[in-house]
Amino acid sequence: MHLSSDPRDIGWVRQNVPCQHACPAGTDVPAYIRSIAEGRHGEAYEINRGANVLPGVLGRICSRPCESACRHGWPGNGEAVSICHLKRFSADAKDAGHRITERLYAPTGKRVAVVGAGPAGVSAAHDLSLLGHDVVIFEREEKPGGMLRYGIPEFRLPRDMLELELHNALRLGVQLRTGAPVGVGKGAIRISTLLADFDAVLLSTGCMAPNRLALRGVADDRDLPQDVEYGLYFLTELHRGQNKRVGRRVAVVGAGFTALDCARVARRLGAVEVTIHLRTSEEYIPVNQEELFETKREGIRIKGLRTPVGLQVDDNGRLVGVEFVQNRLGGWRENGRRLAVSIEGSEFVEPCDTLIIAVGQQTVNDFLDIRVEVGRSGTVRVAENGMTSVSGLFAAGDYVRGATTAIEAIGHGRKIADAMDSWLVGRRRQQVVQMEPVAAPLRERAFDFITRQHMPTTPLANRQLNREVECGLTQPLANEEAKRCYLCDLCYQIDVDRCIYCRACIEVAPRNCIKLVQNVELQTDGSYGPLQETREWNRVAAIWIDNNECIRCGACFVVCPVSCIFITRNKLITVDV
Amino acid sequence: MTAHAASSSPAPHRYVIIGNGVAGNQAAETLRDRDPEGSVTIITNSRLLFYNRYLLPQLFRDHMDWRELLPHSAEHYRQRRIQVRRDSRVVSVNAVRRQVMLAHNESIYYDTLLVATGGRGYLPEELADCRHLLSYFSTYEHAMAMRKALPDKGTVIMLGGDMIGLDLARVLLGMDHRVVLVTHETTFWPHAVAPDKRGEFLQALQRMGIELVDGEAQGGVATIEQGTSGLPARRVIFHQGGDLYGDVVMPCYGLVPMVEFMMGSGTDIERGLLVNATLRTSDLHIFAAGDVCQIWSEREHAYHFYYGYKNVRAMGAVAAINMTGGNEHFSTTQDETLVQDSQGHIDSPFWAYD
Amino acid sequence: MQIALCGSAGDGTIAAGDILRSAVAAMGYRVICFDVYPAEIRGFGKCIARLRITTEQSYSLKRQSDILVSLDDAHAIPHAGEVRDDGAVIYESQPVAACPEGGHMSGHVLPGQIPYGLPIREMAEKYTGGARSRNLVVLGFVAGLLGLTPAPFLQIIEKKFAKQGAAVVARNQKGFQAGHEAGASTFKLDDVRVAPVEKPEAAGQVVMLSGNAAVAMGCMDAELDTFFGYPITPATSIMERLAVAMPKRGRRLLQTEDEISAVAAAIGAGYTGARSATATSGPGLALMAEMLGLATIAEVPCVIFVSQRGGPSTGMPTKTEQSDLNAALYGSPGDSQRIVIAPTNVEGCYRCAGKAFEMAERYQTPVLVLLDLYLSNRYETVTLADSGPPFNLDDNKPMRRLEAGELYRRYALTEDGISPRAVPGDAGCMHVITGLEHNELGRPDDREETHAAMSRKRHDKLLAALEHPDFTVAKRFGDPGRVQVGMLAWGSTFGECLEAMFMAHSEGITCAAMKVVMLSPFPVQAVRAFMDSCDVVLVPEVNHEGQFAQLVQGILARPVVRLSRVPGSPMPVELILEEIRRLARGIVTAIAS
Repeated sequence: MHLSSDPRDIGWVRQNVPCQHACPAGTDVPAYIRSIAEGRHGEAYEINRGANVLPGVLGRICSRPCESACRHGWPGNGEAVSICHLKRFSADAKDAGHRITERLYAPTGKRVAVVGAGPAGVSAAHDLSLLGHDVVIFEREEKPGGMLRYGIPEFRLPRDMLELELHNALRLGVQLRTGAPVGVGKGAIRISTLLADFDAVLLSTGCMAPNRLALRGVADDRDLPQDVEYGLYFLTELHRGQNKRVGRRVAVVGAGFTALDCARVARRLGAVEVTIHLRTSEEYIPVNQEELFETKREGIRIKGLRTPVGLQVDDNGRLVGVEFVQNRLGGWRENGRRLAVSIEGSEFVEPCDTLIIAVGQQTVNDFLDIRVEVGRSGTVRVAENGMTSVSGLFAAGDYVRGATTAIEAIGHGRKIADAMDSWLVGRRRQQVVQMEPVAAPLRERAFDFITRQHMPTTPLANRQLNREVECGLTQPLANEEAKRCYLCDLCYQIDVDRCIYCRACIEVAPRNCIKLVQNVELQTDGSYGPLQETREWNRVAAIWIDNNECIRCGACFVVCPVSCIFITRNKLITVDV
Repeated sequence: MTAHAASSSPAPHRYVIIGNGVAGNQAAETLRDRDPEGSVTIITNSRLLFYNRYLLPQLFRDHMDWRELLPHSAEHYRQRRIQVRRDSRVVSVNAVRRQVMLAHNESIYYDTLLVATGGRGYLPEELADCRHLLSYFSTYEHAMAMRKALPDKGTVIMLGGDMIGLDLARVLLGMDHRVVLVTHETTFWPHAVAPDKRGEFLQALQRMGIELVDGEAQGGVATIEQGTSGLPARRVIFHQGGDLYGDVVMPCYGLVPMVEFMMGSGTDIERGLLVNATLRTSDLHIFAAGDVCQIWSEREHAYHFYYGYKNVRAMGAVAAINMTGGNEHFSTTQDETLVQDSQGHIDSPFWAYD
Repeated sequence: MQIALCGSAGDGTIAAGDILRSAVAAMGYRVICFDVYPAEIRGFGKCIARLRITTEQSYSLKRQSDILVSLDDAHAIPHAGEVRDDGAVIYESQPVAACPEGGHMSGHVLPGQIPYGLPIREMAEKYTGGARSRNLVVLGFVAGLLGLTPAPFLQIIEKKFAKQGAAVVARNQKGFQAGHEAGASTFKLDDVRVAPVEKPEAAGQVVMLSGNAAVAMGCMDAELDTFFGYPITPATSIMERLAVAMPKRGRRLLQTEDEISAVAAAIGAGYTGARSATATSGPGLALMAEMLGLATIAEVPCVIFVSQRGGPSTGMPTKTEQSDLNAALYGSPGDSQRIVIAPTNVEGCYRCAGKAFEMAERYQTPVLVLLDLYLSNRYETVTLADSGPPFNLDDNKPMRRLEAGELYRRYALTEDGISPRAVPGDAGCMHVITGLEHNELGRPDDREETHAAMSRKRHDKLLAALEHPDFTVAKRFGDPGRVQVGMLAWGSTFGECLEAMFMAHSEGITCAAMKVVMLSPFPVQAVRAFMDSCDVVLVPEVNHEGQFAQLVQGILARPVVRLSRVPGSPMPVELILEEIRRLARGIVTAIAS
């Protein structure tokens, strides 16, 4: 086993372990899935926890950028591995007496205040406390969790799991003060006070204001009839324990998880006809297919290419319909999504008696009592290390980056905690690649034909507000699913000196993964460039495993008559400098 | 017009048609007529040459070989130089490189592409788990499998009851089978029947011999089970608790366009491929025709699907004309309304084909 | 029904064909098959196994197959056209690498054919853990599609892989089963059928043999003592088989350093009284020419099997041709006529092999048995008589003793030209043996009258071979009496002629075909009689010069219509049929005018 800081090796991991690279928190996905396959669920949970302190939570509600990147989902390879469901499985299946391992640094004597106990704040607070700092979290709600608790319905995220993991995250001496608003109002703690009392302050207040809709005759929210609600408030009020009611026909406007959640909550609150109205079309909405499918399965309809432009109200001021204008798809947005362009004169009315608006959220800065530089989008301007224009005042999560996802918030919280540690006590850490020889492929080709295992769900008839829809993978399902992972962190290479050019490996190759190569370019940064392939024997300089095509089936390793194929596990680790 | 300019250049213009149905084949014929030099390729998932799907109900009446369904012999395709790539599934379209990617890892270049993949039977997502217990009716193979599953004087349960299913129902009744229809909002699809007229048409169905079950009153279908031994092969269970036995259960909830492979191509899609009246999509080189496309209606300021043999065939021709430099607008001449004939049976322009 | 399996060397194409033919033969079908494979031992070459499966005996492969299986599209695509309308084309639906446009079989299936894409490789990997069993998966698919029961296949697979252990057997059987299930559950759209066989009353044991295997079997049944050989395609497998079989019965086989040694040793062995043979192809025959002259003049029995391939020189080692006829007939210096026989089918290979030894010993001369690659490598179901080998070998043993004081005349001029033969060690039979012209005692003698008498003797004694017991030198098939078109054919091409003849019959053309098995000495009377009954005589053969046509014309001085083609593959039946039609039309027109 050896460690390498060679850019080629670090680049290799980045390029070859697409799930880990796609994860904003950098979760070592192949490692934990392998642990599950080998029946060590606790270990799998700990690997997860090393990158993300809430595996059981994220295993339920993560937006799964890893699965979009998964090599198994590349063209011709089938469907992505259920990385998220396996994460949840590791949390659900670990021993009841599971022992958490944390590596603690000695106390530094530094004090840090974290504002907001959402995913970014909790993740940062946890890491800061491990690093030896004393952390206090200020949270204005009664309970910690932020959007996880107040924005996500219980049927997607049961509260006991959230409770447990938050508790685990914060129990290493993090002081949690709930019902403690930070701001300028009466009874609120001022930022300036915090800055004076603590060595550093982290703002992780998220995006707590809904985006408005431009509706004819509606200047501000006071003009909205009572049957019109913002999705964000609809959900937070519900989760604070308020009794929410919806009409028979509910229209939801919006395309994100919040819109879907509102629609599904509305259905559970007794709405008969729930329709989600999209500006663009289903192809371009930022939710995963499983969630979309479950939504449709609950009888919710989705209609595209329409923008609400006005409300129709009866004589009693009750909503009777929403006026839409027909859209066509317009140009492209930077994030790969589409713009919608209204077609003039194509207005039409969809009757409904409740309208929920869930067209995104934004940050608010009105709680700041000191001058902090704000960027054009309304979020605070931060340096590379997360520090705002005010020395010692840091910001992380959605508060900096606008409304994103839980995993991005957690990943960002970690990153900023690390940067704060450097700022506070001057420690530096570095990523290196740990290379460990592996004696056998750990997989069989037959595993590649296992299809994605389906998440068992609660029957439609039993889907109540607080009954979790996804039941979790059973042990056999999880075992099968875990076998599917290609284990992309395994690096297959041919020892050119020992290769006898028999081509046996090429014959068994399941893909075009082993190539006759006449040259491999080295790029200026030291990493390997494109392979120059050849079909002429007298030009062959090497038989080369193209790790980009390789699905780690191990067929070549098994068939090689001279054992010139060797495997290493390349793993990114962080070391103190 | 690019298509036209290219066809006079030495390399023949490459027309690729995805879909082997009425629209695709009409387009192929029209393309061949209008551009004798061009290369015309039809790509289809089917193993068969083009057959008229509207004639599938006849398979129940006559023990036909599939060859009898073919309007054109193999020789016709040779003579007309229309290549039919069967058993080839399109997985994606790269509009930038103008390539159609096939499931077997081959990419086909096109100068002009026509998407005419039609629709597949819609299955409400809540019945997704019962998929394997349902009988479909969109291909020859489906029809044959269903015929095999249906015993003499057997019972067919139609869920929904679109016009495709009702067409089959007419034949089945004539063959002494029992047809039970579970009503749904998609009954009579694609006809939008006014609420006040619905009862009248449902009565007409009963006159035709179809037994009706009020699906809405039953709270909709909850699930479908394998019938226990000694009973018919399928059991339909309703949300309200009622149930129904039959030998075959068919979902007849209308069609949804088959456009999955176009996702990611950058071509505008809502439910179907969005096209203007010339059947051109948002991509200059891609057209769409048949049940897969949603046509912008200037008059109504909305996107519309147009169904039925005549509409679909006309779309194929219009698309082909425009693919070869024409500027024809599709407009339907078909009356969209459901009617009753002199016997008090329902009849529909959707059933009209020649 | 005819199946063509096409793949690249290493894909197991030929092995799959082997299993298929063995299995269907075990089911009681008649099979005829022919494999085409590359000259290169390993690498990218094309392999095709074609099998025709029938309930009644058939005589050749058809030009059009009913099913084409592609294990390698690059090789199989050019053959897509050989499948008839409503036939099936089976190919890989999930190739490993991206293929360029036009590189996949699905783009080449003609409108009338039925495409069956199958994830062959994936299934093999899934059910057998490796891609090597692709051939068995696809074989299973074909069997499933045709509704053939898996049992006989599984037995053959077990037999074939038994040596490699139970795990290998199980894996391959699993691959076959998976393919079979896929085939059986596929919606069948083609109209390829195999009629069920009613097991005929066994008139003997039915075995599946290639031409070369039949030769080897004939040799063994004729109690061959020694074999000397040097490998050359397509004759090598004769030696390979004998190398396995002979030592088990205490016989000897020696691989010599070249063909000259091989034939020299065979002649030497023949001289000592051992029954001996060698096998070669055209280039080897050329090297043997000199030595064969020695056998002729020294009157030593010796059998040479010559499997022809494309020539001249190294030519086309893995392609079939009938162009060594002249070399076989005339290929030695001097007036060195010998016996040349050419079987026309696999069963004939067996018979000719055994009979060659009878003839060589009775007429004390070299006997050449002409095969060709097509015949050597094609497999047919052969019925072996229960009564045992149909060879009579004891009559021709060398004499053992001589009365004391009697002068032994090794080359005595007798009425039939056959002299008493003795071998070294026979009491009182000491004689001189030499390549020089000699007198009756074997002593060198170059006087005019001696040479004339001996030359006559060496030629005349061969004429008896035309009456050789229990041997068909030529035989007529088809319509009796006067016919519009008659075909004269020899060797492997005769099967194609028969097929063409049957097809011509069904079109109302009167037609007959004669196979000429003995090419030297030539059965003049039989052939003349046949030609007398034909309005026109067609001679199809797979060589450029029309060597057989020339032979016929030279001997009989009658016109024949030549059909000489060198496609490197068997003569297409359709081509012969076309020619028959053309000739028949011409005759009708001639009569009408």
